[in-house]
Amino acid sequence: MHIASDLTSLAFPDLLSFCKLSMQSQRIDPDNPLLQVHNLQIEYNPDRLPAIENINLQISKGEKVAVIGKSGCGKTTLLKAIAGLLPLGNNELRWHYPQTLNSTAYVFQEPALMPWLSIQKNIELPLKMRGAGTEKRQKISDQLLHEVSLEHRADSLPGELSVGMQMRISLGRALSIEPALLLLDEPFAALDAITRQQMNRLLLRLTTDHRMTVILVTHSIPEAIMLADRIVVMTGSPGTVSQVVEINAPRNRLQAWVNSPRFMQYYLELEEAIEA
Amino acid sequence: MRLSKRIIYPLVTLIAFLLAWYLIVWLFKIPSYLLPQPHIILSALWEQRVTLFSSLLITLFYSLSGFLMAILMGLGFALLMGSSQWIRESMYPWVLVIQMTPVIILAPIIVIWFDYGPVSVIVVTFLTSFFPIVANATHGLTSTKSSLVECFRVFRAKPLQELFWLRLPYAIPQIMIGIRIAATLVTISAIFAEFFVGSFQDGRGGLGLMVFIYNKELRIPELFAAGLLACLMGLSIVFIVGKVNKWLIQSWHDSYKTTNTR
Repeated sequence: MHIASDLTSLAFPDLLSFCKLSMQSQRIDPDNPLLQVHNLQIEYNPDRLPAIENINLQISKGEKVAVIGKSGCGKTTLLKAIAGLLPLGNNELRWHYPQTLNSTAYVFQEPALMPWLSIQKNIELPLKMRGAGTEKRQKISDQLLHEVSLEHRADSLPGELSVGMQMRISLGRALSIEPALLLLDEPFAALDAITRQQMNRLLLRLTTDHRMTVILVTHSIPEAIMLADRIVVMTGSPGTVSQVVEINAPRNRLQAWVNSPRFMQYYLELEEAIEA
Repeated sequence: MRLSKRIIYPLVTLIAFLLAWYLIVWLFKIPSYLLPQPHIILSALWEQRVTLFSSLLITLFYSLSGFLMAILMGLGFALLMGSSQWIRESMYPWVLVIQMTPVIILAPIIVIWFDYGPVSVIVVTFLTSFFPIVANATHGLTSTKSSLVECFRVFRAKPLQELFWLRLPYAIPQIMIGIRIAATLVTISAIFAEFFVGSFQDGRGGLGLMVFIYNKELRIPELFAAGLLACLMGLSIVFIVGKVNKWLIQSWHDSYKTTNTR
């Protein structure tokens, strides 16, 4: 079943299903890697220092990884390299599953919607590229519009909506192809704190139940702790991985988790790591 | 601006202009064969209305044919050049060469190939309007916003999908600039082309022919009347192209957002 219809049938979890879900929380299997990054180095200009170097990472299937770090430490470069948007040169990324069309989706820092298309058509765009029929596209986009609470604006153009709404559409577009790997580049950076919180909860919901691997680049430490199983801290120029922090928390993260003292502990630890 | 203001302001300017015209003719005692008064021009226009109207239609036919050819071929070339860098690098210099060669030099060659007559007139009109369209369209197709291109690439769009679903729609404002510039050139180039490569044998011809005849016969009010018609024809073409532009992009392009229109 498509991700969108799965979730609409998952109404607010009652206690029993909640318990079931937390027990079934995805076990990350380090022996089931999705992607191995070995000694990645990317430079934009041969006369200058590389943007990132010595990156060694292994991402497992179903894992949610957050990449945090100060501005300019190369987080976006790493993400773009994984997405295939940068020429890799001598580097090699080892993928452990066939790179089919539906494998990777990307949410940019700005909405990057086509301004002449309605938001519904924007969501349908990746499906249209893959030759999906009109009815199927419409069904999926209707469901996704419902998921991001914008079904009443389905025929609006992006220019008529706020940036927050456009980002929701951008997220919906990324999910329309049911990607195996979802890459997000500071998707909520331009939003106000309240909308950001809502979007975090939305993202958590939408990616929890499915075996979707997520790499989220963010400036915001709370956002990273909220969403991730593992947080990769990048520092320095050229950027390298300075620390990796495992987050031990159940998949279903409620407000209680955010308010817990362990959350604060992680926060302080990561804040220190970034500054280092 | 409100519609009534947008009509009234130019209208007031027009009336002022006409009054100034009468004033100057009266003040400097300008004879009619140098600068006829507006009402004389209008009565000449009315008297010659049949001839002038049929020649207007012929010039309209030349202009629109050349214009349409320029749009189709210009867009076609631009799509080719926009899709591949090596095509762009090999063909663009030759497009420039054609543009830079003055029509006066190309005209005899065109006459040799197509003989004096409508075909040559249309070819010359086409050549004049071709370059603005192809240059602007190529620029538009190669200036797509990079974040949108990245979006298409990361979703593994095929090159043709990227060209027709992203680059082309995004380039429409820029393409329309080229088309609007060409629209201002078609009338005048159709009329001038008649001078160089038109045929006057069968007595039928566009406004270019009429200008030539009236000039020879020193029928100055009629000359002005033909000029007035040419001007109105050109304005109409430009106006219609402007409306098409608005229809195409007003819903989404920044140029029609209130921050830019007020």
